[in-house]
Amino acid sequence: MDSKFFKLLLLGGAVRFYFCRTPLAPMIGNRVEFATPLNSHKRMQEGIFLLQSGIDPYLGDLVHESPLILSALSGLFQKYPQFLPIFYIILDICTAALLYAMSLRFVKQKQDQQDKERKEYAKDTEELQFGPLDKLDIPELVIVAYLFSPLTVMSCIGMTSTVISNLFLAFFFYCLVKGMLIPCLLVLAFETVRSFYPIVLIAPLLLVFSRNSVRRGVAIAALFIVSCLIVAVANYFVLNSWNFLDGTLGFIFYFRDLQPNIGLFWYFFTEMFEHFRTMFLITFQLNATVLYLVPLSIKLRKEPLLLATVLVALMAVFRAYPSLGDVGFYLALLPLWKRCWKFMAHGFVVFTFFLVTLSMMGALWHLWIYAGSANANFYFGATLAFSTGQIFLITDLLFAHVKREFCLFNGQKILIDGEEARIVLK
Amino acid sequence: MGLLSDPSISTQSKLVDGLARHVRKVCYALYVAGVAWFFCLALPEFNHGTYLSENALSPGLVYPEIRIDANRLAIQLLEELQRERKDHLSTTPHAWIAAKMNEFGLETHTHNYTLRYPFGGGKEYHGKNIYGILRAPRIASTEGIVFAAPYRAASSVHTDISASVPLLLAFADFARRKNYWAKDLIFLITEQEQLGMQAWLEAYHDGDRELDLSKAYLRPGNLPARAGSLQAALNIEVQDLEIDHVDVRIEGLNGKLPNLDMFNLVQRIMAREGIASGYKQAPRKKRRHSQSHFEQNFRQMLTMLASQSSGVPTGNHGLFHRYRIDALTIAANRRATHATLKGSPGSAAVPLLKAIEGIARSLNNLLERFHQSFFFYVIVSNDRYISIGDYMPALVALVACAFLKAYLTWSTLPATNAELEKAAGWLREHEQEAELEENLEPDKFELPYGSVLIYLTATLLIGFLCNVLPLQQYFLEIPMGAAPLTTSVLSFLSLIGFVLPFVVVLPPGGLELLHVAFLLIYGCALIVIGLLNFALGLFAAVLTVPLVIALETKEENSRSTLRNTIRLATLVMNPMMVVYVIVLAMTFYQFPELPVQKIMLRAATAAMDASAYGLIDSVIYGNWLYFVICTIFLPLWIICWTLSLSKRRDYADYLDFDESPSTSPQPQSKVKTN
Amino acid sequence: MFNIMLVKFVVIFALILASCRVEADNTSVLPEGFVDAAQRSTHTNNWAVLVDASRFWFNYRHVANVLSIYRSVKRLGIPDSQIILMIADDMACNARNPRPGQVYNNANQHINVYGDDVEVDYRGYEVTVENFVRLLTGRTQNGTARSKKLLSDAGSNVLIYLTGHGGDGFLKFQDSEEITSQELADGIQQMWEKKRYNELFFMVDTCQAASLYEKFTSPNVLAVASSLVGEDSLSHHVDPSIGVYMIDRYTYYALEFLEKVQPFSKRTIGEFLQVCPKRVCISTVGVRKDLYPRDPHKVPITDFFGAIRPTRVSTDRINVTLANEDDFIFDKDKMVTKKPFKIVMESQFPSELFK
Repeated sequence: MDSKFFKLLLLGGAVRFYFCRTPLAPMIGNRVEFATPLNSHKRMQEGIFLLQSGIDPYLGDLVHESPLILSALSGLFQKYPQFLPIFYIILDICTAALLYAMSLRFVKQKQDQQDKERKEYAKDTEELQFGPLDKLDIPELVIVAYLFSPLTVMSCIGMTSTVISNLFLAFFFYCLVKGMLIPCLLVLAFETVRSFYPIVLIAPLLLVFSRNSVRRGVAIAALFIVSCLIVAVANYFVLNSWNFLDGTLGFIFYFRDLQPNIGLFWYFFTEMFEHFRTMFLITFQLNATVLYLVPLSIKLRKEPLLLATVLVALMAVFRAYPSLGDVGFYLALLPLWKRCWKFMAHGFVVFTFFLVTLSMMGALWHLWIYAGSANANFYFGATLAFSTGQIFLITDLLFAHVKREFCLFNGQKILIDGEEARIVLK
Repeated sequence: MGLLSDPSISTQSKLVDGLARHVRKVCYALYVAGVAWFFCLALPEFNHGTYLSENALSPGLVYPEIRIDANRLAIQLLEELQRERKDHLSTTPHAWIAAKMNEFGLETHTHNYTLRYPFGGGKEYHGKNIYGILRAPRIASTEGIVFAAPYRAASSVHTDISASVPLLLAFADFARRKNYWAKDLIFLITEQEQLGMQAWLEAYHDGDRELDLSKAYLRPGNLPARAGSLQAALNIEVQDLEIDHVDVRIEGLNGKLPNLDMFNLVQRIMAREGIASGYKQAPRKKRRHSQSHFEQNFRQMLTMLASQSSGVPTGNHGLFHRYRIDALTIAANRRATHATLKGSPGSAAVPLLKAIEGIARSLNNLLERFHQSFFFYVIVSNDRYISIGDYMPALVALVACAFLKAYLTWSTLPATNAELEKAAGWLREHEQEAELEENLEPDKFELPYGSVLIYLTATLLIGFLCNVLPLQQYFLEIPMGAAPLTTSVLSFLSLIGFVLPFVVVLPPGGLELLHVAFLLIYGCALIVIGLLNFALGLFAAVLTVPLVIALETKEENSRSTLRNTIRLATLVMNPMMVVYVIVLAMTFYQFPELPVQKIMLRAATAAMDASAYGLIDSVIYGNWLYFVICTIFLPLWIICWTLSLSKRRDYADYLDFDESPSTSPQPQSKVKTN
Repeated sequence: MFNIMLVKFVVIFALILASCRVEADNTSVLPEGFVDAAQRSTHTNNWAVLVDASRFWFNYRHVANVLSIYRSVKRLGIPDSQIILMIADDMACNARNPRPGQVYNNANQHINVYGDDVEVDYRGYEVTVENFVRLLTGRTQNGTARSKKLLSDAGSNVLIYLTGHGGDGFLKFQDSEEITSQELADGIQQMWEKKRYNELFFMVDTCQAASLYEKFTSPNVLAVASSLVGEDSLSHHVDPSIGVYMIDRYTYYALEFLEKVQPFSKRTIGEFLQVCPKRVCISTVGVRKDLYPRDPHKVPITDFFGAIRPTRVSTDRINVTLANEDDFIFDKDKMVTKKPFKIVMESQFPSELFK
């Protein structure tokens, strides 16, 4: 099995390497679906150049990458620019490997848990339980879904910094499953200071590590705040100024760049009257962060990893500058819930949605920007449909999980008065 | 929320099962509905009267000031030009045109370009355009309008349109005396039909950009002077100063149209000057009044969509559309021979000159690019149109068939081995008991995603090769014309596609999965093509959807005659065959007197030429038709062909395969392309 | 039951009738002198705010409109310092104008309304709803030039003229924003509360113009609009050599009327209100008089369009004495006298440090 794992990694790398050398790569690097103001490669280059020239990169309105990343990559960018694609490919492969290790561990944990609870399960629910083969299948599916998803491949060849975010997130998931508190906290703090939204992942982290003790929870939260501060201070020492806070977090929160992307922000904020801006800004940011956090955390307190998956997915839908690379990441996590798939009624519909909207996005973008015959509304329609598809997927996953839990203990065939029972959400 | 949180536990839905049983009927009903909707569009209730929505144009508010002396000048220039044409049989009298432009006080420049014709060893052609800029007298040169006239040498096979040059120059002379221009006017005279225009436009927009000259087939060079961003363009093709009617041509590259306001503007001003003008305007004598409104409208719609679907511009204006410049051609046709009306030759061109002046002044009033009115429309008659919102439902209904069928096929995909066997028709009587035993322990069946994906990739690769192979240096160096080369490459690759399903047999469940994938790709492709070029999308849909609906991979419920019919239909639907049939029909229409064999032969050469032109158009002008046919339709056809053959692995083989320990979806097929 | 209802109605009806009679009686009882006094002009100075809210070449007519009124008020004596002219676009110098530097109200080029000296106070993108409301209410930003302020007081008669593209309840400013009738009414109410006008003549030439004055509640406002709600205001004619509509009908006839008015003419606002009958205007001119206490037919037109103040020539000797401090301080005992305090000079440079 191990040899297969390496083969897949190699193949994934080869695919990326091939596309890097086609004219597709620079094209993807300029597509708004993949490269947003936050993660675009060009802006990273600009930031590193400014940093090297001793100019504060955040004084302008172009660079929104965190200073630590800029200074860490500046050597590579300046001296070996020809190896950059390979660097990104390696990062992406690391992400895949981390996801693989994480899912191996996860399935094992699930199986252990199952062994303990097996007596309580209803009969005829074998197909809902993690089977012996899942230990091989699920990690493999995860890694295939990450390595060969066109979304992540394109994101990688476009050299967007989403590749770096995905690596950190994968590391976070890995530590979460492995139960390594300190690295988990640190990487989360780093991502939070870098791109703000991952702050919601503190919820699954607390659920995993606090072990139902409030004191531990408070201590971990305090530790998280301290590590955020440490990361911020570390960033501060790169430039000796706090400008980066406004350039990264402020830029995300205030949504200063209205460039179109696949998200929901840009259209509303271009169309809206200026004096409502503050209100909608807060509404949209609340929607992207805390709105779903509390109910989901209560509902999924026993499944912190599912909670993390759903939060990452919601983040990819509702964040200010989403890119398709984010979508690719959470799609790769879906195979972890393979045993819920039976109940996912909309899988095919969502897939069709994705296919149609993504292909239409290209056409409508062309008509809007190049041909000048369509307009922003057409494009926004496509992105809105895409987001709707994603929301379908997320709710479907959640509901499938609820159904699976129910059926696992109560059996799959429940008849009430001769009719098939229906589950009602209350 | 009901949609999001389906409360039933079981995943089977009665509605889906019911629909799945009648999938063909439902789809055919949708198809008929879509086509019927399309027919209805020709009814006056379904289309709207045109109107001008851009206030700034204010057409027809000015009295034309151009007078008879401009007409006299045009006549004089035409006589001079006729003399020049005797000396320049196959070239353009550049010196004369430049001298005239200089004389009228225009800022005159020439533009040289080179075409590197890649086929048959490679040749180089040189061309030269002349343009004069009239700077806006009281404003910075930030915007411009182009007035273009193609020049055809005396030896050209096309209709003589040399009167356009004198007309353009006469108007330039008039325009220079006016002080109210708010945009620079560019008077452009191109040669070699669309090539010159394409080169000029490329030079205007990208001339100062460093291009990789080794790859470029058209080297546009650079321009010595520009006039800001171009807002609109008017292309003039005048056969003679005495005109019968004006044909307004609008179809541009890849079926793009100028803003409806521009067409309306021209129509309104032509009407004011009393010129018979319109879209596909017929000569006075031939105009049919016997037809009903519906028939006329429908004919108009069809001709417009037909000329749009090829993506080839109907005039030089079409190339402007690529640069987001609204443009159209006014093609003035010569008056038929008659002596009675020739009373006043001295003022024959005045109405046309006045119309050009009116259009120019309206365009001069523009404050931003055309954006108010429609870009997606179909003209049913000169003053009626169908907007995108009205015609799109026809296409959507057709495409919906594909998605509906895909969904239903997916939801009835075999989930267990037993179902699979049933589907494949392999269930034999003596195996029923064994099957029953199996049923107690339904082993879940994994669909062969991997192999299907690889099969899809292989077909797409064939399509990709169609684009790339004919342009490989190795092939280009063969001393062979473009047409035979392209055709042989295409036929070779089609042949591979034809053979592919015989060589590669998909594992069980693969065909069904391939069917779903095919329907999804097909639907997406039609939607995208329909968005970019509605006419092409619609025709492709109308042509292929019935076949796609009929196509079925299950053997149980289809008779062998039906299967064979479908196979035959699929064969005919091969893109190359379709091109041939279309060309054949056109040849038959044009030369009905020839014997059948000769027609077929002639059509064959014409089809070969057509494919070569398609390739050249895609390389030089950026026409998508060749790309679409090769990269989308050919792979889809190969899949379609595979599905219609429905080659299945022998059941015994399948059992052997199933006993092997590997359960993961490993690619089983070895694709042998090239 | 029904009968009782009927009786009630009849009683109520009778009461209403009776009360009306009483009111009618009351009005007739007003002393003659009071009525006359109310009709007398009471202002001390004149201001005009003239606004063209639309830009673009094809809106030439709106600029011609506003310049026509500008020309008239200036000719009738309001100085440029008391005219606030807001014009959103420069038609005279537009590159499309075949007659540079000139704007005409008529295709025959009778009157060049652009004239020799036009002082535009707000131009181009300065013509915004915000600036207009700030101007009316006097809440201009710090540093605003004196020429951009409406420095009117309780004795000012103010003429407000608006033109542009309007709809039911709004007037569009430059295709990007609009002022609503409510905002306008609020602005004028604020002017009244801040004693920024004595009487106000509100004149508007746009489609559905009457909707703009519907929400007014402030006293002493007379309003006239070129069209009623639901009607379009139409342009007068096209100059075929320029290719634009020259001027709007209402303003065209208003200008025709004003051209005949001389500074001491006896023409009244009442005549001016009838300047454009439906026959020539096509739209119905709307007038709102209920807020205006005087009879328009007794108000000279120069009360708003000129700067003629009621002056009385007196041959009597008048004692003019300059005011003393005593005139203002009435209660000398209560005045707090400041305690004397010692003034110490601080040295500018701490030279003692260096000693």
